[in-house]
Amino acid sequence: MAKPEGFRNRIDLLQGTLDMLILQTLWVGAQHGYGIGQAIRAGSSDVRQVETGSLYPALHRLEKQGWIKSEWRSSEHNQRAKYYRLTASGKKQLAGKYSRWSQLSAAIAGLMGPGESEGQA
Amino acid sequence: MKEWPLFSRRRRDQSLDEEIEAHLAMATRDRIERGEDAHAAEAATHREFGNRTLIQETTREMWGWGSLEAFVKDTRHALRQLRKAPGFTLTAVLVLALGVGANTAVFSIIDAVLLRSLPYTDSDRLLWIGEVIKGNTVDEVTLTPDFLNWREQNHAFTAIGAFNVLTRTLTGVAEPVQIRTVKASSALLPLLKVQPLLGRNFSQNEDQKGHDQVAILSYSLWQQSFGGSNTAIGRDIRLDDQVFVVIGVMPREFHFPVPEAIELLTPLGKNEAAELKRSDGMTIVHDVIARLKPGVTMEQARAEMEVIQSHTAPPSFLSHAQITVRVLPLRDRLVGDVRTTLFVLLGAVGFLLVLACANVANLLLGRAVSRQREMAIRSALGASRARLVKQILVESLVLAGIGCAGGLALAFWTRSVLLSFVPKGIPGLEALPLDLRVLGFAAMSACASALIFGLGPALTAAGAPIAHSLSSSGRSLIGGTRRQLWLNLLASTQLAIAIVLLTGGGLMLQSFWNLRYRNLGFRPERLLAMRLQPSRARYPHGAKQTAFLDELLESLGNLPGVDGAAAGDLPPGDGHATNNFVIEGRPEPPAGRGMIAGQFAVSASYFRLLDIPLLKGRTLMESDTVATNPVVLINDALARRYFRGENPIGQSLRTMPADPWRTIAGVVQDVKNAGLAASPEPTIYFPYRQTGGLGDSEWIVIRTPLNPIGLESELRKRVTQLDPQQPVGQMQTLDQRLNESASRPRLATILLGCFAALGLVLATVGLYGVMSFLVRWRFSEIGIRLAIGAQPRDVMGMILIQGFKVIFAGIAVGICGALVSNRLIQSLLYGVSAVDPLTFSLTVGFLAFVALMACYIPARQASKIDPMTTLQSE
Repeated sequence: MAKPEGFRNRIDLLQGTLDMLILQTLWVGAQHGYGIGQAIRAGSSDVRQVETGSLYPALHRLEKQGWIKSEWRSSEHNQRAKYYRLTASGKKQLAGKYSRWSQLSAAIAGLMGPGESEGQA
Repeated sequence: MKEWPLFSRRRRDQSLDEEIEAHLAMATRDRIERGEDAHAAEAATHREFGNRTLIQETTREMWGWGSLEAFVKDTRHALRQLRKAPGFTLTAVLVLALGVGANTAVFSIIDAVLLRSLPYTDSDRLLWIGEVIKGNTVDEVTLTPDFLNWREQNHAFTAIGAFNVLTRTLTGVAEPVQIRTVKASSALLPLLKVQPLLGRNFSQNEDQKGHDQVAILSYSLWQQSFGGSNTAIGRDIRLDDQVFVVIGVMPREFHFPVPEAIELLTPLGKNEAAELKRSDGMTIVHDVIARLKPGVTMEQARAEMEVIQSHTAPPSFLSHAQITVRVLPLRDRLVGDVRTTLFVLLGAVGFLLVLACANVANLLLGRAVSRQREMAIRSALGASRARLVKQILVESLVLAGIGCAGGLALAFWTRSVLLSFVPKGIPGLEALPLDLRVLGFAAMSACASALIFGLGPALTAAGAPIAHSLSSSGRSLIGGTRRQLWLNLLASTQLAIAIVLLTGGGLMLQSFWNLRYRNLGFRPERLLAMRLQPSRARYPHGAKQTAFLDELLESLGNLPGVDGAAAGDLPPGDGHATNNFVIEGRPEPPAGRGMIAGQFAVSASYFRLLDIPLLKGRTLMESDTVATNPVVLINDALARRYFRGENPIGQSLRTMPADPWRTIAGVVQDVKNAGLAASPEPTIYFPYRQTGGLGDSEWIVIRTPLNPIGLESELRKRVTQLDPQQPVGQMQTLDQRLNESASRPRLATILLGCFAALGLVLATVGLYGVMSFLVRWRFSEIGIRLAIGAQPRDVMGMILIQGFKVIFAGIAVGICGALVSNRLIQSLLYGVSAVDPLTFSLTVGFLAFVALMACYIPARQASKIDPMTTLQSE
């Protein structure tokens, strides 16, 4: 029974973080799903690979919560794509999440001791 | 964003599709720009993207109505699955339909009897009031002056009225007929909030004796005797040879608040001034009905009645302590003691439903094993555990839905059968409509059962570790010992429930047998009874009536195919009716402690014809006439109560001071004459030739070796030949009479018996299912055992021991359960204890035997396993 347990934990951990990563990515401007995935990957220097299986459900969930909005636009390569952007409540949410995150990471950093600066997204 | 869901859903689906297309296109372009080959880039992109369908599905779930959509999908899937396994589906649906059907049928009776209100406006404000008079026996009648007191002094009621039911002969219209009538207070119809259809109600003045020669017809009597004509109002009719004027007709739907149909109403007709003097000539009323004032509770009314009663002097022959006032809702009075029976039945069908659920759970578990692979694959493809559980639950729900429909059909179909068993006189049971409440109940019980039988299998099946079941060849089944425990528990539970149901059914059956067939005191077969009241005008008590009865009995007794005719009271009695008597040479007893006995005039042939054994002395003879010494017979109950140890033969008694002393000539055996469930009452039998005729409500009875029903018209013809003016009342065989009297316990017994039998079948099938499943499960293990030298006998023993454990546990729990639950039916039992050892040992023995058989067959199968085939098939 060890296997399913581990699997579930990974998703849970990802979910909260992923929401924040998405919101953060959208802070700089509207972006489509593929772009968001690329941005998160680039932002974490290719360390964090976002699974599409998590990304799209997260995007649609955030949209339902009213934190982001979507519209169809053409990309720079004339590719029609669905762009997401932050709403006012999404920005507030991000601010809240960010402060909670920094508290948490500071605490973890304190525990792990200096030199270990893991989790700085 | 508020769009029509389906339309919006399709658009969203499309949009999601495009979104993913765009994602893939952009990703591929990036790869090509990085210099990859177009084909390789596309393949890599798809690989990187992952399971597109799964992603789409999980994304869709985020939209919110994914659950509904999933439910529809699951339902379709479930239907497909069920169609693929017709044997399983049919069995499960049938078992569920039985369970739900039985529950619905019983609930529809409860709905009709206990939940629906009486057919009167604001009927929950109606009360029944009566006095309970405890002397040597208990009588439920009300003294007329007490009723009049209540009427004058109460503050709790808007109105209060009394009535008596009696049989009267109606002449002056067509053929003379005997009809059931009531004498009712003028207040009664207004307090029931009923208006006559035609004409008027009685006036207050007409309540008084001497002014009461008016009558209101029932709708059916109006139709029969007056052809439904308006000219009936004002017509003269004769009741017991007295003239009454028709003043009204009741509406068709009106039902007088007594169990039987009432054809005619006349005023109560009491001499109120004389009654209030409370002389010894005071009369009684049988029923009092009152309507509570708004805001007054039944308890307040009861308290007030008690206060009024405490200020009333009791009649000379009773003391205060002997009279209590009973106040209860009219509905409870009419429904009577049926409530306990109904709840016992509901409990029984509840158990039955649990049994049915256990059986279906069995089947589902068996199926879960064969579907283990399916579940594992689905799980591997990304279905979450919750999703799988949900899917199996939906399958259970679909199964329950079909079972529920089947159950409703069953309940609907058995309705007419059920109705034919339902005793008369319970208002509301003329029909058993399947109303919304009943439908709701059926749906609820189906849903509950789906949860009960579905959750266990769903959790076990969906809990299978994926890799385990995929990698192995299916030899090792899910859950191991936990699963086995579950199954054993299931089987034991079924056995326990079967014991509870069967002992309950067995006790009811014995009780019914005792009630209906044992200690009747006479032989009821092939007796036909005819209610005949010699016309009081033309055959007054004395020589005239004696002569008429002599002639009538002779004429009937000589009919071809008739063994003889007799006149007298008939068991099981039309209720309890007693009078005082005194024994010569004994001091007058204190007030309220007088000796009482049922007193009936009978023909000399009565005891021979009914086969009532003589215990002492001699029986009545044709030669006992007015010309000879007055004699009586007494029954054993009277001899035991009032002649303890003394020899009653030769002693004398009389009932009224003006009467002559009558010598006790003999003692006869007790007959159940005070109702089937009551112990026989002390009884005095007088020869009618010495009393000058029959009392009220006595019968003419014949015995015949032929089918008694065929003789009815012959009997009528003979009476008419003798006197065309003499009406003949109701005719029935003694068996019919006894069945009618036992109809309520009969319904309960038949139903409980059926439920117990069904329970037995379900439990046996269930136990067999579990055992054979366990054996199948251990096939390979048994194969190995046999291969390394175990004897078939050892294998059989091993399986049987497993069965014994289950059976033992089930029986132990079942006996405890039965001891507790049978206490609830104690009040319904007659002549048998709720812990009757015989019933228990027989039931348990029988069930143990059946259970052993259910284990033996799979065990035998196991011992016949061919190890080679079994091991190779893995």
